[in-house]
Amino acid sequence: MDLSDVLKSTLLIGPEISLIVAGIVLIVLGSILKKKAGIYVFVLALIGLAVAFGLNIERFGTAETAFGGALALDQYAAYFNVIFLIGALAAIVFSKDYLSATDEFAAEFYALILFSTSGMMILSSSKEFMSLFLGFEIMSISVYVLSAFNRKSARSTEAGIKYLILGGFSSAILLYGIALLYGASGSIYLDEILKSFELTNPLFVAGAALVLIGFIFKIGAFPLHQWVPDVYEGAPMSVTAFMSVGVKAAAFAILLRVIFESFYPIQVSFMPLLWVIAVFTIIVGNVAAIAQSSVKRMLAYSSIAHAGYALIGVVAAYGGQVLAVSSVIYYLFAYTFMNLGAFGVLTYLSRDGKECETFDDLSGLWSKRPFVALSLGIFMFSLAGIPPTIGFFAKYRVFLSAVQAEFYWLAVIGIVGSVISAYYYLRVLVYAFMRTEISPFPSFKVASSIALIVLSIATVALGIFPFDSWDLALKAAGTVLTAARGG
Amino acid sequence: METVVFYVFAALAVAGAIVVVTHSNPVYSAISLVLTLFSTAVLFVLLHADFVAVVQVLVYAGAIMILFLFTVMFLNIRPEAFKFDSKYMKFKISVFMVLLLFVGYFASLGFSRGLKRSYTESVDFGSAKGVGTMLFTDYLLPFELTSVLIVAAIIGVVAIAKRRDG
Repeated sequence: MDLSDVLKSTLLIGPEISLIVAGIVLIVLGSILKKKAGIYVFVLALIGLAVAFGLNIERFGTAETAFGGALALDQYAAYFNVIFLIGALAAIVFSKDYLSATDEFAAEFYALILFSTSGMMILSSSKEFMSLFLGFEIMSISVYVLSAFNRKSARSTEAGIKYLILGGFSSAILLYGIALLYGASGSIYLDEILKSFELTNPLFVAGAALVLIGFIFKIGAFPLHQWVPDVYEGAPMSVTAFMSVGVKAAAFAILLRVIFESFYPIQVSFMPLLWVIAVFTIIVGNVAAIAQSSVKRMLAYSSIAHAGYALIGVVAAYGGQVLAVSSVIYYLFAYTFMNLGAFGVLTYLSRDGKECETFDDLSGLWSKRPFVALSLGIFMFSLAGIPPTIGFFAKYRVFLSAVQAEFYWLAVIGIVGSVISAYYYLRVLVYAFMRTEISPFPSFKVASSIALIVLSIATVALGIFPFDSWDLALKAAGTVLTAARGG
Repeated sequence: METVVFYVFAALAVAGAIVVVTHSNPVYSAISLVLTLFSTAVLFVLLHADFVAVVQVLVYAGAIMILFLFTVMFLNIRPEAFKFDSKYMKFKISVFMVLLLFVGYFASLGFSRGLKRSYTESVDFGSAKGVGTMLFTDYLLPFELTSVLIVAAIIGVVAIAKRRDG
């Protein structure tokens, strides 16, 4: 790789660079302006995201590789990048009202969200294990810090420490898997590993298994889901919104890419395992969510269940089904809007240091803040999978792909799971619409209101007219499957 | 000549390692670990990996050992803290570790059959020139990403540690 290649590659990763540069400028600005930084750093963070978004749009329709094939800047990565950027945008907007106006560390907070997003974008496009691992760690380390950002609260600190230690273990397992794969194939490139894959070689099997365990942890699927409720509950509300959407989508992005671009031959042996994981993830998530008295913890368990629904699509993609892969991608896209919205409403209703957590905190929302209550209703209907919201169509496509792949029981369990979930989602609405006010609601917040309106319109409108979102998901799925089909 | 140097420093490395695990005073253990790391660095030089050798001395024998010593002295651990309640405890731990070693050995035998290639690299591999060339051509992206990772980590540490008020 000579200098011209380096320059060309550097220009190609504009979106990632703009986020990193914006993050660094934010910190400098924050340290100069100190307590007056609030609005300036907020605007600057939005500018960084807007530039990244604009540059990312250019990637649709092209398929470039950068840095000697280490990064694939294809439609698949571009689609996921849209998810990450929407997640980061909403998290920053909600944080603006959530952080106190004079928070000295607002700049660091936004900068870490931007860094984390750039890590996710590297992760979704990496075709080589070294950048993959670094992207994974940039994403994770920033999120560990963000979870512990609320030093006032013991639970936030606990969430940060728990996430750091368990996440550190999962990264170590992932890294060990990568080392074994390198030993077996002599390469860290996904396509080279695919070429030299031998099912009889224990190094490949052990390496692939360890790598998948690392991803399953970040997804928060069944045997490795224990950290999810504690971390999601303890972290600041806007951070929970960000990581439930961004980190999960990033882990799925790389899981699908690694399965289809590198571990394709071993699918036969681990798909039954993923079947079991998907089923237990749905059951555990839904059953535990019923029993929760905190809305935030309930949403944490429900996010485990949603990871399970998305895993149904991963199992159904067995053998390289385009429709199944695109249903997973579309599910994560849909989940972004509805889950950001649900956590967004809770962020909106939190006031200085006191988070809106219990069901009672939502009582009487309809009579006092009708528009917030209405948007909460839309998000809950969408999470439960009731038409005509985006959540219904996303679930429909995932279950349909399971039926088409003849995994009938998987579809049945998924549908039973979503019926159970309707109970606890609608319970939120019972409190919001049918009870009387218990504690006063916080005052009107401009930025969060705009974000909530946009998210609720998107949740309904994309449910009725998917526009290009479904077609682009199909194309993205096609991109990631080309290697599997060729090999 | 090379063989003599190898055996001298290999013996020193093993001797250092033995002192690390047997000495009751953690400060002595830490200092003898420096000896082990330093001797290993000499072995790297013998393999023409001078860059790795320098890094070994600077990072491990230097920075990391200082951190170890600092922590040990900071916590002020007395040798008595390492005494076991039951006299069989030491024995049990040793047996467990030896078994673990055997498991690891046989696992590595099984795995090494799957190894793709032998790892004898060119003479340049491990020298400052070789590492530098690879770092700034083939592995430029990971190199730069590492700096982003470190920046994110430092900012995170400062942001959390400085928030005393809150």
